[in-house]
Amino acid sequence: MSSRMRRPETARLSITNNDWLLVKKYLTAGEQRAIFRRMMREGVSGDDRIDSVRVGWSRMIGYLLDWSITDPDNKPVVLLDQPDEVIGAALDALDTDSFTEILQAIDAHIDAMDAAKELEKNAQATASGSLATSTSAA
Amino acid sequence: MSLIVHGQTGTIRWGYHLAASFRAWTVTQDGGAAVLEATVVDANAFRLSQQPLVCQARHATGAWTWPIVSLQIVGASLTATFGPRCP
Repeated sequence: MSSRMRRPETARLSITNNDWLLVKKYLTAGEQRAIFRRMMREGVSGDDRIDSVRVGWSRMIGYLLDWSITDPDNKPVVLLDQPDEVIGAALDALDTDSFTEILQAIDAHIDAMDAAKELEKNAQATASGSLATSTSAA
Repeated sequence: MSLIVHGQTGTIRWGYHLAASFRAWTVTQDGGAAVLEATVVDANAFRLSQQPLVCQARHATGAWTWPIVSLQIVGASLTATFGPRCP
């Protein structure tokens, strides 16, 4: 039986200008929940609603662990171990094109990981199907 | 020959997760495995129970990284035994 927990693995994504992003390969339930929480804004009547302008930004904060981006003085803008607020502020300080490029790179990574997960599921289903067949035949 | 190094801060990670942070660390190696002794600042019991754990002890120009073979925390005292240092 496969584990329902994954080891916390990372992936390095290359973007333009020889820059790179270090991202989580997969999110845990807690990390996914944190993304949803950051997307919410309190409604006028106290009810929480998804704030559409925070959706991509929140997803970026959820996945990004570090990057090679530097500030205008060419000093590294370190994200590693920084709180979400700092990562969010660093993302907000990017120019619009760079923000969009990083969001697209992370979304492509999410799609690739989802596809890999589907393949894993199919392989497991096939394996357990074969096992059931061979067990009943024995 | 024994080797003793000291430092101010360091972390223990489970993958990208911060499992613990520590301060006032000493690593001693006397022929056998290197041993870390430090004071715990923060610790996450679940993450510390997972494998593999990696220790990063910061020094003036960067950090040394070791895989952790065994780990014990008693109160604020942390003791860990390392495998061979990571490149």
